[in-house]
Order: sequence, then C-alpha cells, then structure tokens
Amino acid sequence: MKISRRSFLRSTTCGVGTMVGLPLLEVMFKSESAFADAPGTFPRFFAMYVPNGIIEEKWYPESGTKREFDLSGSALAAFQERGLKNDISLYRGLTNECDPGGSRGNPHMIAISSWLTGRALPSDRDQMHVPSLDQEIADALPRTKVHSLQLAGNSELDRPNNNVYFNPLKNALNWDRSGRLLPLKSELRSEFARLYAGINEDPTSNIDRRSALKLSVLDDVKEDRQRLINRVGASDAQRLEEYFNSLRDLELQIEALANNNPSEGGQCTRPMEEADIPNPQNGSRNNAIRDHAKIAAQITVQAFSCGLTHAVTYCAGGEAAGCEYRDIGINTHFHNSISHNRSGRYDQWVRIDAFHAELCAEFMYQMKHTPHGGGTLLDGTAVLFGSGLGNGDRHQHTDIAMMVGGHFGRWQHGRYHRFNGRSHADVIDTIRQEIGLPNNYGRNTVPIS
Amino acid sequence: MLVFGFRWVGVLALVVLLCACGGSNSSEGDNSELLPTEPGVSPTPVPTLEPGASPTPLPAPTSTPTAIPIPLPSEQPTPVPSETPSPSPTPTLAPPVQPTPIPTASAEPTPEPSAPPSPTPEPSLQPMPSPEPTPQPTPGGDGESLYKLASGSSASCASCHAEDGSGVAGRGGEILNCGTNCNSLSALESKIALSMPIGNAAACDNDCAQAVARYIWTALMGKSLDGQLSCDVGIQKTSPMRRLNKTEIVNAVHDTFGIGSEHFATSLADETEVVGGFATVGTALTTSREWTERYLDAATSVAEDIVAVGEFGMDCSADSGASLPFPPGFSLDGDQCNTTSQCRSVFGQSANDCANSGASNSICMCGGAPCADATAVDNEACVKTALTQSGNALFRRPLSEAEVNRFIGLYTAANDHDSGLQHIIVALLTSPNFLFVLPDDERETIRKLSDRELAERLSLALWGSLPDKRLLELAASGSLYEVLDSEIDRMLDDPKFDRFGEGFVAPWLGLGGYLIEGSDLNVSDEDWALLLEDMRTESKLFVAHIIKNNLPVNELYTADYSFLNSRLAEHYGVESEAGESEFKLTYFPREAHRRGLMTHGSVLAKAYDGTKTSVVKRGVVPLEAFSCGAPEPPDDPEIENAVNDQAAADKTEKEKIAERADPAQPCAGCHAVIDPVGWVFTEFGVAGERVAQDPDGDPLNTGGVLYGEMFADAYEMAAVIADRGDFETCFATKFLIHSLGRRVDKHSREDNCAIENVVESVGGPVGARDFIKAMLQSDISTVSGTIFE
Repeated sequence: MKISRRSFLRSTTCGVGTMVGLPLLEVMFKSESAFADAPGTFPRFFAMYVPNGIIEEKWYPESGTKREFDLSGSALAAFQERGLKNDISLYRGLTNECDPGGSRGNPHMIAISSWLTGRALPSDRDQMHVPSLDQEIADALPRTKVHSLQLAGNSELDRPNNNVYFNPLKNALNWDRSGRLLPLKSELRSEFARLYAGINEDPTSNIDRRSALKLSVLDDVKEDRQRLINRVGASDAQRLEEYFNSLRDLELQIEALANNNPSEGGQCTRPMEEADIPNPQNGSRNNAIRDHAKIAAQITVQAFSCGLTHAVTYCAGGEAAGCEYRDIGINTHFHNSISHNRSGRYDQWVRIDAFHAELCAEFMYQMKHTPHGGGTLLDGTAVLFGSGLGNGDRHQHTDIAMMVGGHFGRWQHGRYHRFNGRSHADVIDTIRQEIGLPNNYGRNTVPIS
Repeated sequence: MLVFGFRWVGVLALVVLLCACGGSNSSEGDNSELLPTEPGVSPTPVPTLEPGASPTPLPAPTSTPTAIPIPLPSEQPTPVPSETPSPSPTPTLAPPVQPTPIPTASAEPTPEPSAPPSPTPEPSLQPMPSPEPTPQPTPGGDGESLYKLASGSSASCASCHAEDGSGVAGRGGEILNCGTNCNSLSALESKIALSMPIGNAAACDNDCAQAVARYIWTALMGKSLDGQLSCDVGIQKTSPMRRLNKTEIVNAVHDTFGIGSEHFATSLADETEVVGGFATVGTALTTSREWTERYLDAATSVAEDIVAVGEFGMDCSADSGASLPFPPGFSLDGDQCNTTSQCRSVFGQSANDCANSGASNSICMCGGAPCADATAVDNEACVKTALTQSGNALFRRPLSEAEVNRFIGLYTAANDHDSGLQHIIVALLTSPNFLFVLPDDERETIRKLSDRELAERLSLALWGSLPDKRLLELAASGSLYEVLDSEIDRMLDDPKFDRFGEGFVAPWLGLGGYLIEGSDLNVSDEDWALLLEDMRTESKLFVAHIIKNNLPVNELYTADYSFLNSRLAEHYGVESEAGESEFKLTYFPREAHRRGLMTHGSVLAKAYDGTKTSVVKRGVVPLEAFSCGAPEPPDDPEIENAVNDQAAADKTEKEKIAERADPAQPCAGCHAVIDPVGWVFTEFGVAGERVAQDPDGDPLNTGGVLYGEMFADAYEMAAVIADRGDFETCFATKFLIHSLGRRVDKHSREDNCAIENVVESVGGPVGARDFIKAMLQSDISTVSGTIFE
C-alpha cells in the first residue's frame, strides 16, 4: 500500500525520512531498526469499552452527512465540546461480530470477548480465544518496561448467585498472545507503581537488587524445562509451556529494563504522587469512576510519552457489573436496575452514555495536548471507543457504538459512516491493517475516509 | 393461529388436568386472588387454563430440543375421561415432576385426550387436593412404542422428532446429532428424563427414559449398547495437571516457613476461572505473564521476609573470616572490640564475650576460644541442610543431587549470604516442581496413583496444602496404601482440616460475590461485613461438624441446629448464650422453620440482586448446590427477552410465579420445581432474617408442592427434598470435583458408576466422615485413566 509521506511522518517522529516507501510494518517492527529504543517512534493504542449497551438512537447524531454532522445533543457531545471532532470517525449501524460469527452463550460475555478481538468466541464456556488488538500491538513492538495495561473503572466481576458449572467471565475484554484472558485492573495505584518501579530510586544503577535476583533465578529455572515437558503428556505439557513462556517473557522484560537506563533519556519521571491515585481493589465494585478515569488518563499519557508502554485499554466496567455512577447522581446498579429497565430508566441511561463519552474525550484531550515528536500524542495513537452491545435491554448485538480516533496510517477523521449490519470486525481488522499488523484475518476493510 | 393435532391438546390438557384437578372440587371459581389466603391450604402456583383461549404467538422453535412452545388449540377440545394417568414421581436423580397428585388406575394410552375438566374461565390458582405421595407406575411399553405412540396423555416423541429421529420443522429438532446430549447412552437418558417431553418433563422418567433412550440409541442412531450398560467401565478418566491455586500456595508457604505467606495472599489475584465452582481444575488454573510477574515479585518479597527473620538457614552464621566488613578499629591481630555486641556483629551469635575489653588488646571470645581462631561454620553444608529440608517439603520429594548442586550454585553466585539464601527460596518457589502438581508420567496407561501422587491429592483435598512429614515418609516407603484409612482419619482430626471450610465449603456454597450492602439491611457497611463473615463461619463450622462427627450427609440439610454466635442469633431471632466470638451449637425452635444449609444466612443472602431478592435464585441455589438438580438456564434469546419482560413488568411476585407456571409456555417445565423451592424461603428476608410479609407485601404464605408432596414451610420442604435421596450423590459429585481436580458429571456413565460403587461400598445410610473416607479410598480417587477430562 502506498503511504503518503505526510501521513507517514504524522505517525512517527521526524527523522525517519529515509524509510518512506516501506510498509509501516517493516519500519516499525523490525527490532534492528535504529529506532528500536527511542520512545515515540512506535504507534500506540488506546481503547475504551462501555458495558451493557447503549441508547443507540441518542448515541449518534440523528442527522448529518458523512462529512457534516453535529454532535451536540448526542451522547458524543463531549468530543465536539473539547475540540476533538476532527480527530474521530463515527461508525454507526455495526453489528458485533459475535452474532454473524456464531458465538453461543451469555450475550454479555460473547459481546465483550469479540469486541477487541474482532473474532467470535465459539461458546461462552471457552477459556481460550485469539489475542485482542491491544495485545497484538504490544507484542509486535519491542518490549517495553510494562507490556500493556488493562485498566478498568469498575473491575467488579459479575458472579452468578448460584453455582453454575461454569461462570462465563464477563470481564473478557483483553486476551493475550496465547489466547488467555487477562484480568481487568482497577487498582490504578498498583499499575502506576509497576510503571514507575525503580525509577528515581537509584539513578546510578541500571538494575536493582531484586531484579538481579529475579534474573538469576529465571535463568536457572529454564534447566527444568525440557525434562519436565518430556515427562508429562501432551496436554499437560501445554500448561507447563505456558508457565515457562511466561517466565521467559518476564526475563526479557527485566533485561529490557536493565539495558534501557531511563535516567539517560530523562523523560520518565513520576508524574504524580502515588498517594493521590485511587486504588479500588481489583474485582470490587467502584461506584464513582470519574476521578479514576481522569487520573488514568494522566497516567496513560505520561506512560505513552516516555515509552513505558504502548497499549492501554480502559474498560468503564465489566459486562453485567453494576457501577452506580454516583458522579452523575445515579445511585443504582447499572446492569440489574437500569440496563434491563430501558423504558423506566431511559434518561438515566442517556446520561450514562454521555458520561462515558466524556471520560473517553478526556483521554483523547490529554493526548492531543501533549506534544510529542513533531506533533502531539494523538499522532501515531490509534483510539477505539465503543460498546459490545447495542440495545442492552434486549441483549442485542446490533447497532453497537463504535468510534475510531487518533492519527495513524491513512485514517481520515471528521467522518460519520453509516452501515446496515456490517460486522464490527471489519473496523478492527482495518485498524490492524493501517497499523501494520500482519494478521487481519482477510476481512473486508471499512472506509476510512 | 396454529392448529395442531389432538396430541398437543393432550399434552396441555394433561397439564391442565394436573393443575386444575382441584377446580371441580373447589368453588373458588371467582377467586381472582392468585393464592388462596385461607391458612392451612397449600397453594400451588399453577393456574388453570382457559379453554379456547388464544395463545400468544410463540416464537418458532430452534433446532435445539429445548424450547419448543406448545400453542393452545383454538377449537374447543373434547371432554376428557376422568381416569387419565399421570406420570409418577419416583424418587431418582432425574427430573422435577409437575405437581401431580392424581391417583390413577391404569395407564391407558388415550390418543384423543383431554380437555380441562374445570369450567372455570379465569386463570386462578387452585388449591390441590390431598396429594398421593406414593409413586405411580411409569407408562409401560417398550422403547419403540413409547417413542412412537402418545403414551398416557403425552404427545409422542415422534410427533416432534419424527419417526426416524430426523426432526420435524417447527416442532422438534433432529435427535440423531444432538451433541453432548448423545455422547453416551446415559447422557441421552438423562436428557430425556430431565426435560422431555417439553412442558411435562416428568412424563418420561426412569424406566420410560431408559427404554426410550435405548430405542433411540440402537434403532435410530444405530449404535451398539456395548459398554453403555454395565457399570464396570472402570476408570478411564484422569485429571489434567494443575498448578497450586492461590489458597494452596499461601498455605504451603505458611506450613513450610511459618512466615511470608501474606505476600502471596495480597499480590495474587483470587482464582476467578473456576470449573464447577472449584479452583482445583487444571485447565482453568493458568500462569499468564501477568500472573507470573506478580507471583515472582511476591516470591521475592516472601524470601526477603523469611531470611530477615531467620526462618531459613538460621544457624548458618556467617564466616568468621575476612569477607566481613570490619568495624573501624577492628584488627584481627590487635584490638578487636569494646563490647560483646560488637563481637557478635562480626562473628555472629556464637560470640559471647569481649575479653579484656578494658585493655587495648581485647579479643572476641566464642565459647572458650578466641573467635578468630574458631573454625568457620561450614556454610555450604549448613545451607545444604536448610535447602534439603525446605526443598523436600516444597517439592514433595527428595531433591536430587543435581538439583541440590544447582541451588547451591545460585547461593554461592550471590553477593552475600543473605542474598544467597533469598536466591534459594525464590528458586524453590518458582520451580514447577513446587508450583505444579506433577504427575509421575504421561498418563498413557490406566494405573493406580503412586504413593506420592496420592499423598498430594489427599493433602490438597483435605488441608489445602502440602503433605506433611508423616505423609511424605509413608509415601517414600511405599506404605501409604496399607494405612490409607487411618491416615485419612488422622488428616481429618488434624487442625489443618480447619482449612477445609475455605478450600471446599466456600466454593461449594459460593460464599462470595454478595450484592448486599449495609443499607439494604439498615445497618452500616461494617456491620454487614461482620455479619457476613459470621455467616460464612457458621456454614464452615457446620459442615466441618457434620463431617468430623460422622453424622449422616442428609443432616447437612435436615439439621435443626447450627453454630451461632451472639450476632447471628440476634439476626436469626433465636435465643443464644454465645458471645460474639464463640460459635455455639444452637438448636432452632420448630417455629423458626430453619433447617440445615438451605436456611443458612450465607446461602439465603446469595439471591439478592442489588434491588431485591430473586425468588428464582433462591430456588436454583439449593437445587444446584445440594441436589445437583437445577435445570439449565434457557439458552434461547426469545426466552431471555420474555424473562426480561417479566422482570421489568409491574406485577407482583405471585403473579409472575403464576405466569411461569403456565403450561402453555415452556417455563413451567423447570419452574414447577424452582419456584416452590424459592418461594418457601420468602419468610426469610434479604440476608436470612425473619420478615413478616412476603415480597409483595402480603401476609406470608410459604406453602407449596414439590414432587407431589405438600409442605407448609422450609422445615417441611427440606424433608421433601431429602426424601428423594439426591443429596449424597450430589455431595459426592461436588467433593470429587474438588479433590480430583476435574469435571465429575452425573451424565457421565463412568462417574455415575464410580459414585454408585462408593455408595454401595459403604452399604446403607452413611455418615459424612465415612463417606469421604470411602470416596478417597475408592478407585475414582486412586486410579488414573488416560482420558483427560
């Protein structure tokens, strides 16, 4: 594919001029590239997910053409108010891939599990899937100090009140490279600590004592690998392999940290005091997510800025879980009381939709106002915002919310695309293509201009 | 308007008959109330049908044989002969029966069956006449005739599934390829017994289900009965290899080192991917990068703590040589010290004096000799001892020489002694030999578990931790099997069995994920947290009591006592002399209606969904956890929408129950059992406290009918369920999932037979302790097959 020099430069820092003409993939992901260690060269990814569906007729502007539309009055008004209208594209009328893809089972679970993967999970009982987009991007890039973040405003896990044989996990947004589910984290402070561990602690040493110990142990434990894997049967061996792979991964990550002395670059200072960061326990209910999201936005932006990680997702809440949105004066369980009482709670739900959009707009706003390379952090960051369900009351997967933002590849923004039941996986796979990932499952692409 | 043959009329008429038989007796025709309010009359929440009523158009059935709607006919059905047979509720593992207390004579197949005998036009709940509790004979006949002909007043299988099993469009699905339902003959039998025919699941139970299943299996599917019938399939399955779960890791560290385990308790995420409710099944216990990162980090902190406190390698004091940083002024040849503690800081604890401390030539003394002359403690040998001691315990086997050398290598390569010890501990904890429950081999043959494998299984199942010294000794000497019975007894009496509450009882009952907040009970959140913790403790103590004292398994559900502290007693509204921190065995008065686990606050509180207590969930919880008889939730999106519609509708609970009992809808098949169970608990509020009104605000009326038997309150209902005899098998299933770490399923012939064997081996009513011992010693626990389940 031909890349115009201008859009190419928009998505990289200056100085890559000689590489024009090569596919983004080659430039970006070859680890021999001279830019392998320079933060800011690589695309970044941010996604935000909202659970339980939307009031679809209010989410998008009612009228408008592909290039002329007015967001005021819709749930997305916040984007317009904050000057982000030309940094986003709307995709209306999409159907979650779980339906055409034939997923069976709990509608919440199959919705969220296919949203970021763009593939339908066969059954809500499956414990393995394909990697989600954020993980693919993080895996394609050189290792960063923290591989990726899977944040959540409300990480409460919906649990059944009876011991069904298997509870389909409804926090199933992120799936790692081996197809395993990654848990959502609302403990923002702990995630922050992971990002900034070791920074500013001992500027003279590249690697702290604990990390040296870990490296030593990790090096030794490899000796057991072959013998143990040969001893057990094939399916058991898979689980051992998974463990050894994780250990190896960890080893590489710590080595990367050791070799990449942050004090030289100088950009990665702690942006805020840990004590100011909210830390709702993972798996517990968080009823007020506004401050949480704002601080998560700051942390994301800082982490992107100095290359601590390149892939962050923020899940407003797990599917079927019950954030009460006390920030906007609603005091009742989102799923149980609101999302299945659409007519009775219509206005509240509309306000929740608008609130979610505000939070995402906050993330994008902060990125847009952070200079980076020759432009801002929005240059080179792919943003995705939407829901897995449409009419959540009826558990429908049609007319889901979907918005793409940020400047990467050849994507043009300020567009309002309408479809009639097109699978949302086409959007996911188009992003894959434009970012330069090798695997896009051969799907059709959606218009990006 | 769909026009169907008389067979459909028959089905619905049968159902009508079942529920409306009281109609001709009672004069409650004008009763617009849904439940009779006279005391002493047990209502059934099943309405009569309006003859000739037009049905709401129901969605077309899917190809799965679960949700086939039964539309009402539009024409006036023909009158029914009064002697219409009804299927019998014989107590088995199989399905709930519609309340059918009609005494019948013989089972005559009537191809032109029934109309509702009651002339009452409005739907209303009628009280049932006195039920016939004795079981009725199932419809007789061989499988083929049962399949093809309408039996009793039920539609025939062939009318929906076609005579050759290929299915009828818009009616019934193809049964030749029905997925997991036809994996085995017993699965097929279970499916038929549990849910067929639609809308009247109990019509073909037991012998009927068996006969029909065999007919389908042989004649329609053309499969052989070999290996499907006998219960001597032995053990073919084996458990997937697994890692230790979070609780077990915490306990293992605690038992081995005594300190440091809290790092794992706080850093590791709770196991959320569980199978069957228990976090012991290997396929769900993963080691993602994320998890491993946390684990390694926590292990490092654990090691720091252990070494700092001196719990590992405590006597391996440092070299008395030149590797130490000497304090200023210290010289080996000259003035060494001013105080004894200075000597200790250089030579370790063995220094006990600074001789001639006043002079300029004072010497540190170790025992009677100068420390500088003392032979250095052989660090390496000392460290080796500590390593093998802890390593053998953590690995559940003696470390090999190569392994010992590797760990010592890590130690010597470290910066200093303490760091070296830490290296060893972290290496031990990260080794798969600790973290995973490793099988001896590839499991390609059916074999007995080795002594070591069995020791691990027992200690993880009963203690949630590693085998102790005695178990390991027995395993090493190969004599565990000989003393297995007494060993299990010892383990049950060991204080570590207290952990069984957290390891088994908590996941079994599902003691987590409560949606209640303090405000729902008009107390503070802290008070609710305390109460909830007390409730959990109550349940755990109760189950432990039943097990340890070898009381009958059924007593878990029929006991009229529990273990209450003062807070719980107040909550339940019963007298108690217990203090706040002691849980005393307290008997409930009969009028409290409390009985066994089903009325424990911890169980009743699960049904709160955030705004109200769900009657349906109160019914499903005990059926799922205690009798393993909860019907599967409906899979159909249309049904889901109907469920949502009803939930959002502005109707009373009783009205909703009546709707669900409507035999024209497919709900009744399952809800005829779920709802009476759930409803009987309406006298208990959100968290199990006594309340004065039912959920609609009306006076309490908790009675109902279940399996043909009436009950007035939860106390009586517990007896009704207990009589069916499902509890022991279900308890066995749950216990085995937990201790074997694999799916155990009554649909599986192998599992079914294995459990039957255990039950037979104890012969007759058995105490819970003996039952557990029998399970752990039988083949299902000691034999490993080749099929990974």
